Amino acid sequence: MAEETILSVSDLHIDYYTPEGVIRAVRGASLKLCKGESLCIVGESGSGKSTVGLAIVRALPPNAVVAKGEIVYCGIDILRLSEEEMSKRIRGKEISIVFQDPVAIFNPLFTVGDVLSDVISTHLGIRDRKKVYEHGIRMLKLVELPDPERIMNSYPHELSGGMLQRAAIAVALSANPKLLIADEPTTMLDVTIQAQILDLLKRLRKEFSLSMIFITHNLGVAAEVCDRVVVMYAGTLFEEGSTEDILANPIHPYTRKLIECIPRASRKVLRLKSIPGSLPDLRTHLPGCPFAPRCDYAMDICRSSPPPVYEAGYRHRVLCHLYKK
Amino acid sequence: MNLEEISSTFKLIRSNPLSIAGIVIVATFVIVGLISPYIVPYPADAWGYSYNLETRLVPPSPKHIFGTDEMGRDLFSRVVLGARFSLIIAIGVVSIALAIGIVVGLVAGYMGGSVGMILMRITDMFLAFPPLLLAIAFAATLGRGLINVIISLALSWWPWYARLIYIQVNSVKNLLFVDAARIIGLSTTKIMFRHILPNSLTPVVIQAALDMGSAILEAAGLSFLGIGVPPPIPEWGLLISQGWALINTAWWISLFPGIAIVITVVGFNLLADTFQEIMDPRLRSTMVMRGI
Amino acid sequence: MVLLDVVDLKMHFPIKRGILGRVVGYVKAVDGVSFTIGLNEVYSLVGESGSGKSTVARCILKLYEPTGGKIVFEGRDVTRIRSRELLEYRRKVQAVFQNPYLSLNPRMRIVDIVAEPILEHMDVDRAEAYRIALELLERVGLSGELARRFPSSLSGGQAQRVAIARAIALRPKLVLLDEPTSALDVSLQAQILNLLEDLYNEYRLSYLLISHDLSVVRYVSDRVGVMYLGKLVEEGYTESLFENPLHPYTQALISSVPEPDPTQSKLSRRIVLPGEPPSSISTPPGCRLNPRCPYAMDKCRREEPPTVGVEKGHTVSCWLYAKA
Repeated sequence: MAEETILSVSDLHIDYYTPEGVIRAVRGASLKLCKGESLCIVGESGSGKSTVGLAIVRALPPNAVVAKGEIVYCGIDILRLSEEEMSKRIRGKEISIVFQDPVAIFNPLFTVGDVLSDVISTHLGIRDRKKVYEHGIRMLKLVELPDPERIMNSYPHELSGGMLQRAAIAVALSANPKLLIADEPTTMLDVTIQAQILDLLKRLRKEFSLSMIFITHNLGVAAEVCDRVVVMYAGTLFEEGSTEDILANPIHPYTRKLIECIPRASRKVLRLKSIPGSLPDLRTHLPGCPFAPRCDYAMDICRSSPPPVYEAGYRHRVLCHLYKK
Repeated sequence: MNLEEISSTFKLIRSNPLSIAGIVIVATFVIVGLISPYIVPYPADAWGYSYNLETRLVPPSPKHIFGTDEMGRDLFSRVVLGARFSLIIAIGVVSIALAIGIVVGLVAGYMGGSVGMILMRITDMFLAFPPLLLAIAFAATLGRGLINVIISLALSWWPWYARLIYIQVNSVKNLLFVDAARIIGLSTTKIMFRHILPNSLTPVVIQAALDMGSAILEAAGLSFLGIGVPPPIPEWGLLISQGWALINTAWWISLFPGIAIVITVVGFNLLADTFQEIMDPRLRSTMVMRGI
Repeated sequence: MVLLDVVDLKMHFPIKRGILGRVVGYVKAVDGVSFTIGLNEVYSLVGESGSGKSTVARCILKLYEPTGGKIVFEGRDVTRIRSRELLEYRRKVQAVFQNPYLSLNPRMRIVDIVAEPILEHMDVDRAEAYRIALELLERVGLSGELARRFPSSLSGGQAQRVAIARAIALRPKLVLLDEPTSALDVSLQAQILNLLEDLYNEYRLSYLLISHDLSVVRYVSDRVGVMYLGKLVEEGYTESLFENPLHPYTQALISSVPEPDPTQSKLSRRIVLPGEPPSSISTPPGCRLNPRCPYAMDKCRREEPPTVGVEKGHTVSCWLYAKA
């Protein structure tokens, strides 16, 4: 089964420069995304998942520096492109992003229609105002927004969170990109609205053969939406595999622990297991595996050298000392 | 602020030359202000109780670095002692204005209702006038004198603090920890002073730092106009006005006090900028980027 | 024994327009909610935004004065109490909120935060109060060396522990937990939930949990009440409600929860409610869910359904279950 890789991230290292020191947010992350796949980057806070997502569209804040690594999209070296090329060729046209808070892309002084029209005319090069408007309406209908004409004329604050997020998805897809990055798009939404949005994303994926990178802290959402899952912790990628593999057969101790400490609405849980301790300080240079202080299986080597890759199965990778023997 | 934050703050300041300049200037000003009576080369001249016909209007020279004025008094000593009076004025004005403004703003902001409305309307009335004009009016009514200058300026300034505090309190009172304080059962006064006030002071502290410089400037203005500090007090504004008539020939008499005012006010402005940048997390990162 | 009895609670916020502040309508955030909590029991109020669950919490915490109904605590009507009675009440009813960085005064050291209620209510001197505060911090898993820190220098999990320590400082009878773990990572959430359970057993507390997270609710609660647009639509013992949800809204809510389940059979059982909840200002006539309900009948659009008991302790407000 030769699948076409559209995105490959190799050995990515990203640092944030803050008054309190240099935070090593991503420490050597690698992943591959094939055409039409949806990949979930799952992690808790401080895992670096959002940083990886933002790095792919080069939307990192000014105090972030890519110290090492490569991001290749369809043969294009993303990290070497100029800012101009990024905004003209890539952002919106090839790779789009939807954020946790839809307000991020909507300027409160402009209507949804203004933003949509702007993106459509810029990326699709359509000059005719009527055509731009019609395309905008089409997009809003696509994301199942009722009364699209009214929405076009609405300001962001006039729409509910769910509706605004749909509009944000419409904007993101208006130039027909090949890859959509969604950074916690449903975290701020109510659970029934979240269900609607997740269903919408699944449908749109099918209709447009969209590849997707979905960033979330919620393994349940990952299970709903994604074919493949990547588990990150403290800047390091611990496990990568298909959703089924990761959930039914988790190999990395962290992945296992993570699944065990999730309460369920679908069945009674008697006592939740928890992971003792807390995240390491990301400013320090951790010589070994960052999970070692909290891991039940930590050995001496875990503290001194970074975990090696172990191929557990077809496209199922784990980074852990336990398995390399 | 724990140890880590304090040390990172120090590092930030160290890497920003303007911040260092601000701190150095203000520190120098304060120290000079405190010890000036003991370090001036010509104490009698400084306080103004002397009259030396031989040394009248001597330009800057080794014996008199800033020259002498028309009464033969050493200008350097007078300028240095003037720092003390400026310091007294700065501290006096800002503390009194803060005290009144904080009480008014805090009560108006937290109580709201008719009490708040009345207090803020009074504040607004004061705010309708340009502060310097108001100060001039007060000073003219009260007459010359160091205390009168301080009172006049404080009375014309408290409304600005009141309004700043009022705005802050209005938003702080809706914060969750204030609800938490109510849930614990704290009395209104305790909530106001222990929870609301400490969290409303940041913009006020910045403004107060800036205002120290402005107080000095305005007091100098009042003295220059002749309604501020009376002679022979070597207040900088007064020194400038005393040298005004002779500006073409004995330029040093107005120049050096003028420079002293400029440097001091700039120093306070830089200090205020530094405070603002340190306290505002977003501006803090610009300090970091500058230092990289 | 009933600790808290909420009877037909109503909280209508007036909407004022114009300079004179004319009242043009009401936001009916809570519109007739009744439930009880027993001693040493965990009761959860579940709902999405706009359901009114947080408003119910604020009424019980006496941050708002209800516009209708009453609140009975330990047999006494506490709806409109003041001063000394109110202080007594506050000693027994405390709260932990969602975001500890917001619920803790950022300018107070954490030991001061925990000592504050002790100094306020208990007749002890400062040294004793601080000794108790330090003990409480230890009890919730925070070492003494963190005592002089400010909340901003603590992690989210640590800060929430401080909030919990503050809440139990006075040995309350009832602790309101308003989305206590929503802002925390999953691994931290588990730690905090376990801590809350331990404290519950140790101090024989009752909890009123306000949450939108059904998995947490199922783990923690003895009984659950489901709210929609200011009304309680279903109530029952946890297992019975989750295994056999009666109200269409409860069914939709439970089926909307994404689960990390490798077998994705849940997808087919999912009931997705179309549209969004209307505002609490213009509530639809009849049953509040009727515009979105897949089973809506004519009657639902005209009359509000009565509350009907279906099995032990399990009640529902829906015409599907009301006789005639």
